[in-house]
Amino acid sequence: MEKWYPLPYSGVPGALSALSMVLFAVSLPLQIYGQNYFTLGLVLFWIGWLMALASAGRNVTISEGRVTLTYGFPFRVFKLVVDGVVEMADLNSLQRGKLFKYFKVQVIPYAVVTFYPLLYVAAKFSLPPIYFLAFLLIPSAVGLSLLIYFMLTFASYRRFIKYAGYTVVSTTIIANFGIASYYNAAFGKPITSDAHALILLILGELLIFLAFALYASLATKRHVILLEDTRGKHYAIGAVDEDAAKELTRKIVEEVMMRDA
Amino acid sequence: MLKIPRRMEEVLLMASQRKMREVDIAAKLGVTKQAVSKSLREARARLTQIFLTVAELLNSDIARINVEKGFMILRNRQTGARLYVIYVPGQGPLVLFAEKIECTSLNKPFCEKLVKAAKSWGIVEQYDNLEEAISTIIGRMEE
Repeated sequence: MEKWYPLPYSGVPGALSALSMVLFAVSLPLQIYGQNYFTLGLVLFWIGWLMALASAGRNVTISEGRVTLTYGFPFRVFKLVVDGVVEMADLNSLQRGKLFKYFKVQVIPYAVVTFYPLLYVAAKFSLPPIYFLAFLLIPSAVGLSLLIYFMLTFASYRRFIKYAGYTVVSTTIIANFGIASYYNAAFGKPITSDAHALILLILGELLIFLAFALYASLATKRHVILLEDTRGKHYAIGAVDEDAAKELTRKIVEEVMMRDA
Repeated sequence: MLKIPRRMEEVLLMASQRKMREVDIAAKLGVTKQAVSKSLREARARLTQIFLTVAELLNSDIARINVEKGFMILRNRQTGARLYVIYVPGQGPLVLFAEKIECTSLNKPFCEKLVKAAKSWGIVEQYDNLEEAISTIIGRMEE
C-alpha cells in the first residue's frame, strides 16, 4: 500500500467523485422501483462505479520541483500537476483545520445524499414503504458521515468518533432488548431458544462493530495534507499515518517549495 | 543571515498583502514581468529555506507553512509544544513560544513587532488591543 495517495477533492476527479456519490444514492431506490426503473437504476449504479474508480487516488510523485497526483483504478485516468506551492498544511495537526474551508463545493453532493430521504418524501408526497427505508437510509448515513468529516475540525472529529463509538455500543445493547422482546411477542418463545436467529443477530452486530472500528481507525489515523498553488487552487493528499505525513511535508518543502532558492 | 534581500521582500509583500498582479508590480517597479516572476519565485523559495532552518534549529516538525502570508506553525519533536514563526520584513523570523502572551512593558516591543509583521503580510487588519490582535493572528494561522 502507498504511504501517500491523492484525495479526489479538486479538479475533474473531485467532480467525478462527487457525482458518483449522487448516482449511487439515486440508483439504489430506483433498482427496487419497478422493471423500467430497475434498468435505469442499474445503469446509473455502474456509471457511478466507473466514475468512483476513475477518480480514485492512485499515486503521488514528487520530482523536478512539482507534485504529480494521479487518479484512476486499475489504470491511470487523470493527472494533476501542482507546481508553485505557496502553502502546505497538515490539517490534522492544526487546532482548527477543517476540509470545508478549502473544498466547499464537495459538501454539496454530500448534503444532497444526506437529505435524499427527505427529497424522496417531498417528490412523492408520501412516506416511503418500510422495506424501502434501508435503501434510502444507507446513502443518507454515508452522506452524513462525510458531511461531518468535512464540516468538523479534525480535533473535534476525533472526539466525535469517540462519542459515536459509545453511542453505537449502547444503542446495540438497548436494541438487543427490543429485538428479544419483539421476538418473544411474535413467536411466543425466547430468542435464546432459536440458535439460528441468535447467531444471525450476533453476526450482524459483530459486522456493525467491525465496520465502525475500521472506519474510526482509518478516519482518525490518516492525515490530510493540503497544498495551495500560486493560482490559489487547493489539493489534498492523504497520508496513512503521522510519520508518513511528516515525511511527505518535509519532502515537499525541500524538493518543491525550496527549489528556486 | 536569515533574511531575504530587500528588493525581493518588497516584491513578495506587494504580491501577498496588496494582492497586486505581477504585471502591476512590474509597472510600479519599472522592471519586466519576467523579472518580477523570477524574483517572486526566488523570494518564496528563500523564505521556505529560512523557515526550514528555523524548524531545524528548534528541533520541530512543520505543521503549516505559508510563504504568501509569511508564517509557519511548528510542533516541537520533544515537548510537542506549538511554536508560531512569522517573518518580520527587513529583520527576519520571529518565534512565539506560547499561544497567549501578556503584552506588558517587557513584552510590549515584541508584541508590537509581531503584530506589525502580521499586518504587513495581511494576516490581521486593524487592531485596538495587542493581546487580542495576537490571539486573532494565532487563530488565523490555526484554521
